Amino acid sequence: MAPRSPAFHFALLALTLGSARLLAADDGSMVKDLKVTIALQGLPCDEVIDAKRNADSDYLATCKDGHRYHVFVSAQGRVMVEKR
Amino acid sequence: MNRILGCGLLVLLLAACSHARPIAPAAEAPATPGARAPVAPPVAALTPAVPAVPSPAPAIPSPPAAGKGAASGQNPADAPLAARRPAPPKPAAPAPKPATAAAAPPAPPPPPALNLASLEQRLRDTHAIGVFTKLSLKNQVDDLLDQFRAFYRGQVPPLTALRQRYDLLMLKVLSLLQDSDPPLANDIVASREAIWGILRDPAKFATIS
Repeated sequence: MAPRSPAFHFALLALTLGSARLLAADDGSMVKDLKVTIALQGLPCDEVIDAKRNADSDYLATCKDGHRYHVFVSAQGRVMVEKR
Repeated sequence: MNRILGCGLLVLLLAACSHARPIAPAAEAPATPGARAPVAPPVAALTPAVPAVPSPAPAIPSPPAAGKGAASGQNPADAPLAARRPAPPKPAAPAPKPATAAAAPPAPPPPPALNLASLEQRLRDTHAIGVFTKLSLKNQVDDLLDQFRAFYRGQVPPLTALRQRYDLLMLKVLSLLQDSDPPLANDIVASREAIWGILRDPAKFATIS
C-alpha cells in the first residue's frame, strides 16, 4: 500500500472536523430553538444543557438551573411546553 | 563736467519715471478685482473701485451705505449711484440660494408599501428563527387574531389591551430577528403601524381574516 501524502491526511482531518462542526451547529441551533420556545411560553430556563429527542417534534429539554420541560407539538398544531 | 553729470542724472531720472508707470498698475493689480486691473491706466483704476464699493452696500440698508460712502472720502454724488445700481440684482441673487438649500434637505423618504404576503414568506424562510419558535409565534399570532375577532363581535378585550399584546408579540419577533436577519427586522419595524392599521380597522381586518 502506497504511503499517503501529508495533504491527504490534512484533507481527511479537515473533513472529520468539518462534519463534527456541522453536527454541533445543528445541535446548537436545536438547543437554541428549544430555549427560545420555552422562553416564549414565559417559563424559566437560563440555558438548555441537554435535549433528548423522543420523536418528531417532541423533545425533553434540561436547563442549567435544573428545570426540565417536555416540548412538543400537539395534535392541534400548537407548541406545548410542559414542566416535568 | 557738472553739466554732463546733471544731464546724465536727468536722463536717468526720466528713464526711471518712464519705467515707473508700468510698475504702478502692476502693484495695484492684486488690490483691484480681477481682469480690469492690467488694462486700466491710473485714471481707469478708479472705475473698478466703483463696483467694489456696492458689494458691501447690500448687506447694509441703503441710507447708511450712502452715508458710509460719503464718510470714506468718495464723491458723494457717486455714492447714491453706486447704491442704486447694485441694489436690485444683489437681493435677487441670495434669494435662490436659500430656496435651493431649503429644497434639498426636506426630501421625504417614500412611505414603505406594506406587503403582508412577502413579509409572511420571508418569516417562513428565515433561518434566524427555529422551527419550534416559528410554530410558537404562529400560535401566538393566531391567538391575537382570535382576540381581535372577539373584539369586533363586541366582546371583552379593549383595543388598548390588544395593542399591548400586539406590541409584545412584535417585540418577541424583532428580538429574534434583529441580530440574525436585520433586513427582515427593519422591514417589519417599518410595517408595524401599517399592520396595526389593518388590525384596528374592521373592514380591513375582515379582508385578511
